[in-house]
Amino acid sequence: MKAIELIGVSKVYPQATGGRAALDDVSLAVEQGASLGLIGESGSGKTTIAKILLGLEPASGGEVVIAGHRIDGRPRGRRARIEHARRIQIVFQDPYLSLNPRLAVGDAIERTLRLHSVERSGARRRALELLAQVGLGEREADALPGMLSGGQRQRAAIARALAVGPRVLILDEAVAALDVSVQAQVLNLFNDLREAEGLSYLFITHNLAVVQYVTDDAVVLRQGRVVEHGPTRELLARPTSPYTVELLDSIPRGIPRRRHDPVVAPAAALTESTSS
Amino acid sequence: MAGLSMPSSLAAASTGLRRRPRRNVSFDLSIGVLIAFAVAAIAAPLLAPHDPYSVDLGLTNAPPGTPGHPLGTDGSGRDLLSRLLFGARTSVIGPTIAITVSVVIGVTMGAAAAWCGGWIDAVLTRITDFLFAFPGLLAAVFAVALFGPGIVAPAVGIAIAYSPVIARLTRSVVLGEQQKLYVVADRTMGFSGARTLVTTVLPNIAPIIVSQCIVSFGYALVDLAALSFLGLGVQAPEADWGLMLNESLPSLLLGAWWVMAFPAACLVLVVVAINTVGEGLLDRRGKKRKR
Ligand SMILES: Nc1ncnc2c1ncn2[C@@H]1O[C@H](COP(=O)(O)OP(=O)(O)OP(=O)(O)O)[C@@H](O)[C@H]1O
Ligand SMILES: [Mg+2]
Repeated sequence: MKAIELIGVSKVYPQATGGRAALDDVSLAVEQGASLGLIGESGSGKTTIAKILLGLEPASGGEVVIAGHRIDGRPRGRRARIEHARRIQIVFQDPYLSLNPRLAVGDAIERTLRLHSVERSGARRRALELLAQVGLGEREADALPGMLSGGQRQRAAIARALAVGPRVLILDEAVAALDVSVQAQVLNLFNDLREAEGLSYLFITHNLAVVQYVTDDAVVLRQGRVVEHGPTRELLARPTSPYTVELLDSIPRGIPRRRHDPVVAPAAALTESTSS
Repeated sequence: MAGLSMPSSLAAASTGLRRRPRRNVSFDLSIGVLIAFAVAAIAAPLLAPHDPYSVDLGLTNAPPGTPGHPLGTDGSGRDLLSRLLFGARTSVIGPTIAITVSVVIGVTMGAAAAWCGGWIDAVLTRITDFLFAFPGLLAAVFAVALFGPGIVAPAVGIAIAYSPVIARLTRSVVLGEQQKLYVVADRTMGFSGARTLVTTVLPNIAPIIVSQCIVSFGYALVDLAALSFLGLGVQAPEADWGLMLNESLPSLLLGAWWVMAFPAACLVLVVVAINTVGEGLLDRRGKKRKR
């Protein structure tokens, strides 16, 4: 059974100008325990795929299956909601917006744990375990998100997603907002978790170094259509579609870089990432 | 970037300035005024030199400075200072009821409209527009006509007339809040819509709603005082600023202007202070939200 399967999925947003399709006949699959990279320029439909998988948006056509269950828009009823949440979770790009500013990180995780029927007494202990797993201690657990760094917040968001106990994790530009050295740490964390928890990943990113580092296969999306699909290594080495070639050329290769950073000389970037 | 280089101390000073806007004097002054009135209201029995109800027909319309009556007496010889102090209590009961009721109605309507969307939003927005057309005083007069004068009936009338302001504000801030990733995250983690709304959205928008309530409180105070002045609100012999204004008319004809001036001054001072504080808070929240 596949972790995720999209078969001929299309999506037209009701408010879309001129009825333009955000997704058009997209088919892709992620095997159990595998990691699929999703690459494409801005507006190509990457986040739309995530929203459909999460049940935040219904697909306009086609079939979406997660671990054998068909997904069609928001799950109805408490039981369906809980079960769906356990199938798939997401870590968003911006850790500054994904955590409730009024809730201590540990409390946010406890609240999620209790929703997923962990006893009140055990929830605190489990929350601390989850935070420890992503490299955060008790001090961070009692901190409001505003008191933490971007990297710490992103780890907290990962711990919160893991609290649900999902089989699949979507990472939508999950390291793009982080510092170079922190990016490397978080990517290593993803690789570790994959082994430890048997998670499957859908890894949405602009960053080819990231794709290379954490995915087995990759899909290239353009204007809502799949233009290329194959093992990451081959796809990056010998792209067949002209669009992929163009895309690869337009994205700087090499060390992961913070989005708005000035260009760093490769040598400097290297020492920065290895010294961490 | 070279053009932007400036002495680091200067740079630090300018960012420091930007981070902490200059303190607003009238805002601080208003807070002081409100605290003073709150203390006066709470400690009225201790501070009042006389029983606010004790009539002395031998000493009516005594001017300020009369021994034992620092602010003078009214047309029935009752001590003005004592009545003002106790009046501070009565005068806030009505607005408190009014604002509490209008928050319950307004937040429920606004949040439901934003959260549910679709036809529920359309219907609730129509109702809000309809209520908007109702002047507060008119609604209060209707309520008095139906249920008789007193504190509660006018306050409820005012509450219904004020609720659309709160409903509209709530609707717009909830719509903004809905887009926030941490709200979306609640849903993806399996929380129900209702639970997300109550435990994540409402606590995050509470400060701006409270700021609006403070502003509305000032208006309610004036409207309810006006009703008391017209004899439709608080009834004699209660000590209430609006009612004191009403009762001061005969004294005014006899030249005892202070009987009217003191309650009027208290009312104006408190309302202006409340408005300054409320608008100031709304401004700050507004700025924060836009960032
Ligand atoms: N709620 C919406 N209503 C209407 N159109 C939308 C909506 N969300 C996205 N779109 C449109 O759908 C298309 C795909 O958007 P999507 O967010 O999936 O792109 P993306 O690949 O995630 O881009 P980015 O890399 O910038 O995040 C875009 O043209 C976008 O304008
Ligand atoms: Mg996106």
